[in-house]
Amino acid sequence: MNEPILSVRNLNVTFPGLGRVTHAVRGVSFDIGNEKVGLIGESGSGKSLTGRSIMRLLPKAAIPRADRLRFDGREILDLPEAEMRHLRGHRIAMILQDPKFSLNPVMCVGDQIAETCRIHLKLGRQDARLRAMELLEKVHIRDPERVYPLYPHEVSGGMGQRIMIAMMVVARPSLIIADEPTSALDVSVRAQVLRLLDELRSETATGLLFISHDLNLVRRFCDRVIIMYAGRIVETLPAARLHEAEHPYTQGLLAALPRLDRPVDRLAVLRRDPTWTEEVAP
Amino acid sequence: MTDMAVPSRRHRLHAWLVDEEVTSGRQARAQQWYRGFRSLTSSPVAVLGLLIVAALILAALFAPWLATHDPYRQDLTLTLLRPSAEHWMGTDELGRDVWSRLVYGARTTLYITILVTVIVGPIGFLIGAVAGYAGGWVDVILMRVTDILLAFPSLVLALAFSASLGPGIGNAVLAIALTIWPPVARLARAETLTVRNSDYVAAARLQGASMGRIIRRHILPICLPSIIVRLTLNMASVILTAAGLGFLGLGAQPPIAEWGAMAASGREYLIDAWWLTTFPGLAILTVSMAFNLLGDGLRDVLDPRNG
Amino acid sequence: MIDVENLNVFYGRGAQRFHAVRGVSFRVARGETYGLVGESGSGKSSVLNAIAGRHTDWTGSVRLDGTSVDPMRRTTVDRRKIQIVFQDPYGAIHPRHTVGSTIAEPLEIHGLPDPGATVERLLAQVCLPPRFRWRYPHQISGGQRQRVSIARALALDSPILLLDEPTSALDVSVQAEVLNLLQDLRSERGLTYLMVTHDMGVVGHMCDRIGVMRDGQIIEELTREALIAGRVAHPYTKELRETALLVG
Ligand SMILES: Nc1ncnc2c1ncn2[C@@H]1O[C@H](COP(=O)(O)OP(=O)(O)OP(=O)(O)O)[C@@H](O)[C@H]1O
Ligand SMILES: Nc1ncnc2c1ncn2[C@@H]1O[C@H](COP(=O)(O)OP(=O)(O)OP(=O)(O)O)[C@@H](O)[C@H]1O
Ligand SMILES: [Mg+2]
Ligand SMILES: [Mg+2]
Repeated sequence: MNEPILSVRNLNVTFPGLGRVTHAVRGVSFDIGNEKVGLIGESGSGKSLTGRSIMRLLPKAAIPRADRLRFDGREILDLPEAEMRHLRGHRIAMILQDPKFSLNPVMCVGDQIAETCRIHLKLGRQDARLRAMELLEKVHIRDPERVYPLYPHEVSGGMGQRIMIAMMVVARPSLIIADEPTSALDVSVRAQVLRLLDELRSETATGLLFISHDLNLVRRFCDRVIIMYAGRIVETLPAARLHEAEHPYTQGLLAALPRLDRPVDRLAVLRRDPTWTEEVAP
Repeated sequence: MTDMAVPSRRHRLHAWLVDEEVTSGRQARAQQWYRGFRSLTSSPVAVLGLLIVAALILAALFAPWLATHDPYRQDLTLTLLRPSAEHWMGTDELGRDVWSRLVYGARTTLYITILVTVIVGPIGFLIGAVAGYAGGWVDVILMRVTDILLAFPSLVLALAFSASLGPGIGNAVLAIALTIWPPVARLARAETLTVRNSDYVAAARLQGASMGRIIRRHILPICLPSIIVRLTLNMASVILTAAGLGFLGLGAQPPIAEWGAMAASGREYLIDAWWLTTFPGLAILTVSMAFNLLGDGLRDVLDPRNG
Repeated sequence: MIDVENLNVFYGRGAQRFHAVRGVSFRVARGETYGLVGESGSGKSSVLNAIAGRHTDWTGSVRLDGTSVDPMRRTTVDRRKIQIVFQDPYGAIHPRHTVGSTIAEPLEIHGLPDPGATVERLLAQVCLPPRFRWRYPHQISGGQRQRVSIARALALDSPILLLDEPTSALDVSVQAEVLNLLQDLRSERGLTYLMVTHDMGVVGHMCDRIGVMRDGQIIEELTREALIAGRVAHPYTKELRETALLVG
């Protein structure tokens, strides 16, 4: 097998607090090649922090440590900040979890996309504007002319997410980290956006780390699924075999899913077992 | 026994301050303060700034005890003496002790900084927050006024104001305050714009909260950190402007001890009596720098993104 | 309980004026849950914001519990009838207020007696331990925040709750908790819900009737039974349903 695009070994993220140290990500290891890897897990299990460690975009208080965090043959944690910035802009892209928080609230969305085009594609003001318009169309936003001058609070939740995706597409990265990119999209737009991500991947070898809560989506869209619980990887499965999951947490997740074809009166609630946090991922 | 009790009480206080199982509002607030204090004191530069500002406050409070002489007593037989054991920083052209005047001058400086903060903070915040929150023509009018004031260099404006108000320390402070609220208002408005459309403000509005309540309870806590930082960083320029006005004779009037005025009166004797300008100059420099360092430290502590 | 007729929602002014919702009408009976599903940007949140009073530029008639509301001015009585739970649990709570003061805010605004005790009761109702009262939002997880905003919405005993994608930011295990909680509250208090969601599974689980929106209009209205049985007319609804059934 050829060299993976990203290789992570024993990644730990800690927050040195006042009383005790919060250990948010504990010994996470995985590889991403030219494939789509889903990352699921409960809220607060460290999915976003894992993604952000790869981008080196952690909160100031966080301390990341890893035996290896290699992207494209280079150790990310050792890179100087200037090179990291270049990497972030051109080689790795991240779609952050809250589009409304990540966009500049006092700059119109079109200009924000145009700005990215100017930085990455070295376009002039006029060309960047046209390009931004094209991109809005590409993420299936109706009526881009109208949406271009809107501010982030004036677009709908789903539009915000697609604007983030448009900004990311500009750079043609070789690794995409998508943190819940489609949670506010309806199924048809979601399918279109995922197709766009696929298109992007077909042109160049691209790894995709797809963080999501939507089990069905991950099952259909991804090649492999990593399941996290309390900062650890508890299970890694081929996406198609998700329903054969062995870990009680994954089984609990599947049972908690409301389904159209199997209506129930009350949803099963996950009972969390304290021993899960002690288990070490195989 | 008492030896044991003290560390264990301190220990309990510490445990209370870091406990994750918060049980009262007081504890939650105390923990926030403690966290802020700890992160402020983890930066040596900020600690240096904090110490100097603390020294300034102490000097102002204990001026009568720290001073070796009466700062106002003139003695024409003792003019322009070099620094010595009797007069640590020498004497000025009227025979007054420079060290004592410097210590009393700390009061003036502190008075200026506190007064300016008390005037500028609320005015700047209110104007900015109301403009940002109300929007429309209110915003246009308030911001035009702000822009006009911003367009003038602040020293020139302060000069104009204090010239028309007449010389004196109170008027100088007023003049300075009038010139430095515009940037604070701009800042408050910018912050207000970013939160005005947030869901939590909408939730409060839908429940029937009045504009006053929203500004006080929702917008103020968001703006406060950046305003405090801005004011602290501004303190250096306030002190320098006050010194400048004093230097030009528009600030504190003789015989009040004010660092700027002291430096100004010493400039005629610069060659023979370097101590007259050097010590007040150093004091101005140190305190301005300390406020700057403290402001930088506070920026890191109060940044909501670190919360 | 909620009676919306020919609702039109606009944004902007003059030549830029945008007609986001066009002639939407629906009715929700007391104790019923009505689901709004549909394309992103089709105007679902706009409908909720107009009914709740966050957005005022609309025409048509909205009647809550029999009395009609005016777009521009709302009385205290109107305000107490209706509460909204926003989509994003991170943006809906003030980052510098404790959980307790967030929940107590509506009580204080309306001058209700003894907010302290009410806050404790509400926390218990949404299954959060009483000590959470003193926590700040950054000290609790996304699902817990969403429960805090539900508790705030319950504070005034409003009979109508508008829910804008209440679970789309939550993982399925927390989603199950929140949905169960909403169902319990509905049966205990006879609440009426108007709920926006993208997840057909959630719709099938929670809603009695469903309105499918596209491009500012309701293109189809159907019951839960019809949705489950597949008696749907519009191709877009079919597509929604089929994607939801594409489960391995
Ligand atoms: N600034 C911080 N200080 C202390 N702890 C933090 C901080 N930021 C995050 N954490 C902790 O790190 C853990 C992991 O957070 P992370 O954002 O990665 O979760 P997540 O898996 O992405 O959850 P979600 O699905 O809700 O987005 C959480 O339990 C959180 O409490
Ligand atoms: N404040 C505003 N100013 C201008 N246009 C707006 C504003 N708010 C919403 N819109 C527009 O109204 C349309 C409907 O938005 P709305 O938020 O209701 O969509 P939605 O159905 O909730 O979508 P989503 O599922 O993506 O959240 C969108 O095209 C949006 O751009
Ligand atoms: Mg996350
Ligand atoms: Mg919406």
